[in-house]
Amino acid sequence: MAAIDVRGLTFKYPLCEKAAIEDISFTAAEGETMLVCGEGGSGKSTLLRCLKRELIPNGELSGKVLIAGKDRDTLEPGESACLVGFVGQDCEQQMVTDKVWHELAFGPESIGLDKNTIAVRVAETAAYFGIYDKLSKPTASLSGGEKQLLTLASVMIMQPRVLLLDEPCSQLDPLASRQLAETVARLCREQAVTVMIAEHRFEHILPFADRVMRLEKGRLSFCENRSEALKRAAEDEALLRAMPAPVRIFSGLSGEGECPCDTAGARRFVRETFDNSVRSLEIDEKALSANKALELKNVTFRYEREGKDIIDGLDLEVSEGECLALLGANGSGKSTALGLISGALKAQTGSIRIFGKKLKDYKNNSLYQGTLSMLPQDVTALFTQNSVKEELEASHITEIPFGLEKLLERHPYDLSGGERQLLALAKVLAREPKILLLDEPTKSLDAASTDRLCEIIRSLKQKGMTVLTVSHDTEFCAEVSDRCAVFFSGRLSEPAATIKVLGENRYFTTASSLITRDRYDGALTVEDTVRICNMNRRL
Amino acid sequence: MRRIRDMHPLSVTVFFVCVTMLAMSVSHPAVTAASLVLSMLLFTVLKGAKSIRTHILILIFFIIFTLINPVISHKGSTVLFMVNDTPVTLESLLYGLNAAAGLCSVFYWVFSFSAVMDSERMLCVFGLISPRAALVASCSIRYLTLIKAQYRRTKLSMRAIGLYTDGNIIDLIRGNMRVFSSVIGWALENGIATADSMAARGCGSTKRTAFSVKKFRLGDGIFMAAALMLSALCVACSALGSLKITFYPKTVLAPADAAGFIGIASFILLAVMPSAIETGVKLKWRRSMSEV
Amino acid sequence: MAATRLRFKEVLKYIAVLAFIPAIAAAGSLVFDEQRHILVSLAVAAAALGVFFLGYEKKQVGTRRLVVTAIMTSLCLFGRFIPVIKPVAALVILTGVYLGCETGFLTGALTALISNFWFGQGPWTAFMMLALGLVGFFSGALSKVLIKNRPLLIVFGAVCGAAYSMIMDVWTVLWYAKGFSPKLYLAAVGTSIPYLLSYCVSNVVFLVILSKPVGDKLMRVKIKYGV
Repeated sequence: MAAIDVRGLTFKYPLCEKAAIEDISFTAAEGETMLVCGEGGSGKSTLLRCLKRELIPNGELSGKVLIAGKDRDTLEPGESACLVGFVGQDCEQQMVTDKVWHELAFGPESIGLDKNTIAVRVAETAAYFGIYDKLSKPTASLSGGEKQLLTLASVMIMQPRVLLLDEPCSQLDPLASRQLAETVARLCREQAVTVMIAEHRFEHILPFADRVMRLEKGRLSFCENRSEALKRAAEDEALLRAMPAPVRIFSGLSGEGECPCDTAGARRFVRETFDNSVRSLEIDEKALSANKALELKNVTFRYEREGKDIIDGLDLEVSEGECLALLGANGSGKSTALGLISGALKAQTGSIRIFGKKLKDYKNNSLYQGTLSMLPQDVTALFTQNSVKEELEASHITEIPFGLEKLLERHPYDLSGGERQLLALAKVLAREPKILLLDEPTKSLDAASTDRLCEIIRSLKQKGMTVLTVSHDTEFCAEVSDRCAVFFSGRLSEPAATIKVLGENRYFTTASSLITRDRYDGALTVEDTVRICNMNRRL
Repeated sequence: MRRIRDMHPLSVTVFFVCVTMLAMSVSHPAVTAASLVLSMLLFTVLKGAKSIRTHILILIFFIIFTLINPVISHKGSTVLFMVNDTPVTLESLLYGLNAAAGLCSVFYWVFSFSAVMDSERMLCVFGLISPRAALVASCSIRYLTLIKAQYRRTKLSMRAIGLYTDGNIIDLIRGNMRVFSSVIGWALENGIATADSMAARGCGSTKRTAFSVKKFRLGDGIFMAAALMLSALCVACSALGSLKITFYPKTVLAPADAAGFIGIASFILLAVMPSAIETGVKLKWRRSMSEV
Repeated sequence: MAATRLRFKEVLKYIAVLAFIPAIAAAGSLVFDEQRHILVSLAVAAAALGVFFLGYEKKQVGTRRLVVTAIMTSLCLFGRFIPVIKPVAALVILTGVYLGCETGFLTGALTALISNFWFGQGPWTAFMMLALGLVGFFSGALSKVLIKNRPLLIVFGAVCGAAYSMIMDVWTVLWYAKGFSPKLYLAAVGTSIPYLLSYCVSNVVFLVILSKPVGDKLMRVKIKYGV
């Protein structure tokens, strides 16, 4: 008996001509992990929601869904809530109550379990997920990773047989996404839960996924086991772009045999297939401009009078026309530094000069009129209007950039992550800045949107824009930045060429760099790796 | 026995509702005086040295409340002195004094109540009346923290592209409105995600259990029953007219009889209960700690 | 048929709630002696709230509506921390107008209840809950008229501000004097004129500024997510 059995599932949103998903049939066995991939708008989210009765959106639905052999529509309300668990994108938004124990108890309370059973379930679930010592804490005091664990735990306390995850990692940093992926893998292994994960970045999930489902414009193009799916990916450009570096490298080099999906496998493949007679690619080193766009000297900042210094004696120089990337762990002060440079926060000591002029001498908002502008981490903070058109009008934009013409009538919140980013960027660039600050610009973007963003940043750089970005995404930094610096305890390391920083670091580095390390120098991106390997092809 | 703040919120609430209602409605001077002294004692026991500021504040209130009545009311037969041809009477001063004692004791009861009940315990009681409204209330407390944080973030984001400035008052208002508008949109859109997560966990499928980590124990039951019985006794005596006082035209106290005595005694017993429990528990702990 | 029954029920509901306020005064002065006015009024306020909450418990309310109510409540709470001019009542009015009587009442009542965790909890909480709840209730009741006519909405806001202040003056008098006396009431209204003005001005100002952005956003939630 299959845990999930879907036959001919079709769903159409009201006022839409085309079905969001059409004639989808598949089965998933107990304990199986299925990765659902597809571009934005391919129907991943709709498919997952149609499997859980409580979350079926308004619209026309047809087809049959059996969960553990029972028809989804004839289940008792409580049974239906228990059988299928659902975890969405933003863990902050999925929490309901303000205490950890209450968050766990919420589900069992809702289906009317008796108090004793609830107590037992809360106790065992908290112990299994390692949050027992946090039970009486307010949910607001948890870290991002802990919040995601709590969200998962408060779904698992319902003892579901099927777990649906809709882009669970999109709002998380790499560390927290890896932790979440590991926990989900453990649940499959130990609890035999059937898992379906829709995700657009799946380097952490692919290694333990049993099967891969590919959706294209609402249709199922294939649903195969992993190694078969990796073979199919080689001919599917869009899918390939979303794959982790080992797969892309293997496929870019037209490798034969089993495709590796982790660093060790990819290293073995490169070592066994290619020489290393050519050690590095020629690098055209661009000299930095002598003019400084930004100068920070001994800047110190704390949020509270008695608090600790978040920024502690920060020195930094950014030259005109360069792109500098700041790396660092959560809470190391990266975003705070951007806040200080943008003038949103006021440094307690030290000096900040922008084009040689002190920050505080930019009076009456003149800093933001043609000098500096910042793209925030959460771009929705910039949206106040009811449509893209009104948003653009509010920023006095007459020439519509980035192909936003197609979206004019849409509500900003109805846009995909990538589209939102473009709209926000248009608003930010409407101020015609010479310095652009970016705070985690690739968070919650899919592969195609990230590529688009890289292109835009490169073209801005060519026009002489100075770019300062903060990011966890080292692949993105490798693509766009000239220099990198690492944050530690409120200070920055000496900025150095990206190729040096990412090429020498062990953890703040790209997967490609780890794969080619010791054999080649300076291959940071998949493209670099493919190029240098081709130069070393054995005859 | 446990400390008041560890007792079940229901019995604590019942006690405080009873004692506050009696303090507000019974105006026999013995009751108001006992209420003032014992409520002050309880607050001091609960808060320790931190209670001094409150005592000073309430003392100021006490003086103001006492003096308001003689200033605006000139009823009564015993004239003390004349101010601008208007009499100030002993009766109206006594009335003010009695009312002030009652009001200040209500303040003390209410402050003590706040000291032993946080929002979570309060919502636990509210949940017994209406689980659903209590759920809405606890959601909104959670959302308040989220909204505050988002307001701060949005302000920073808008400031960094020049949409929020605090140069002059017009800009400040315009900037804050822009931030508020963005935050409202954010809160409502994200609320839908919360709602879906609640529905996914079976919210609304059947009647909710009001689960709480607190258990209603025997001690809670005894405390609650005692509070209810003593209050009922006091109300009964008051209804018989034995706790009556009239101020105008002359201050007259109801003649002292058995009912009056029982009424006053039951109120004192009621009001002394929490302080006695607190002190008892403290002593017991000290003793058992010294044995260890 | 179903529609008329619904209307009848609605009307009954209005009468029930409308009857509570005169009941406070009438029952208090006729049945009991002067000293018990405060207990009577508190009991009536508590009963009104109790009737509402029990009714709310029985009704079928969607999860999304619950959460939207919670969010409007927390926006009101957030507003109560702004000094001098507060958008609390304006937000309660807009909630009532766009989401109906019940949501309006609940938002108002819960705002009073929860904000008093910070501003001081006491017997007056019940009174504030009822007063602010009624503001939300009546804006919901007059929704059809107010939603289209913005000037009227603003006038309504000013009236609500004055009414709220005067209801709370009843409480002040009852609390101090235990019995209700018109003379003291006039004195209380007189001393609270600055508050009354600040309520009216806040409501007018915030309804002018907020009615469009908040209204648009609530409409979207209503249409897109079926709240």
